[in-house]
Amino acid sequence: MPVIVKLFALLRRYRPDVPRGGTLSLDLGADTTVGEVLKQLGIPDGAPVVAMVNGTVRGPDYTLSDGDQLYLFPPVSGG
Amino acid sequence: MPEIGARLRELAEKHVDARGRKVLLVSIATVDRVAGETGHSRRQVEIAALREQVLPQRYGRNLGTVGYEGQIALLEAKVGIVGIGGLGGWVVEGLARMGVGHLVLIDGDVFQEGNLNRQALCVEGNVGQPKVDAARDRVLVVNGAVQVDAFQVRAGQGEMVELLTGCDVIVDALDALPIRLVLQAVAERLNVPLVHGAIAGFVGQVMTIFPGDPGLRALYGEKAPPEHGIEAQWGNPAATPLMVAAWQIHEVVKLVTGRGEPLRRRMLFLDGEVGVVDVLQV
Repeated sequence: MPVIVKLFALLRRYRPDVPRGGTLSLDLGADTTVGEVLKQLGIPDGAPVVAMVNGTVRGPDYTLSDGDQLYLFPPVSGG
Repeated sequence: MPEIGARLRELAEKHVDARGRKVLLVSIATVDRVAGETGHSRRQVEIAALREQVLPQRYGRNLGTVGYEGQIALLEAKVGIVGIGGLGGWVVEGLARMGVGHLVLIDGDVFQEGNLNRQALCVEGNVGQPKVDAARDRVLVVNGAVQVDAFQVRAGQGEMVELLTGCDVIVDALDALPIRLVLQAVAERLNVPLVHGAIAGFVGQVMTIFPGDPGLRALYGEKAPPEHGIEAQWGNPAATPLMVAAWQIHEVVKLVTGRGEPLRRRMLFLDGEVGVVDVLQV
């Protein structure tokens, strides 16, 4: 099943082949979780990442569905 | 205050603007003169002037954007700024220049040398001094019409509710996640919008959270989030707070004047490193 992934800020470095501002289309098996996608992208366990699926923040155990949009961005809190 | 209006019209300079329209202008000296004659504050005189379509010259370049009514709304507004660091310093500067009439400033910290790279109000001579004192001094020299209430305190929820009561808008210029979530609850309790801004490295984010909106809770959950985000690794260079504070200032101006569309349920995510701006639905 296809899932659209967008990597923000320095998370782009895990897929430098994606043009800036662009998205990545991953063909995933059924029942793939957010955590499994992070692993597939080479993002280490425990790395600071906020995962948003179709506009809602989800944890690593969330199961993705066909056509989902997964946005991955860092938590930003400096002031 | 009709007699103030008549006096201001009498003292105003008549100009013709670039579009050929007649404009009545008053200088700071004239406003102060009328304030002295009538026993009103500079802010009250500026509001009275604007009601008479007499323009304090200092707001001339605001006029095309916010109009007379918008400038009056700004002068009548009370805005709370929590955190007077990288973001808050520039927000204070911008809101004072726009003519927001009443600013409530809250920050418990004193300046440190590590603030000099980015914090508008931190200079070599005030390291060790309270940030809110520098902010109050700055507002006084930028715009003497602005009333400032400055509180050097690390306020918890109850204290923030007390200090921010009566504010029309609150600006989140804090630097740690848990207290930002507390501030969102405070704004909700006071039933006013919260203009969130945060920075890390080349990256910043801005979002306006109305009471009832998920806002930061959607991003970081209800449970205790980590103290800091990615800025702990990426640092905070000089330009990023300006970039985000500028958007926060615009959000406040829009909320107060009713112009434009706030970034509600939309988070602006600015990546200065590659020059990409995204809007995330939140």
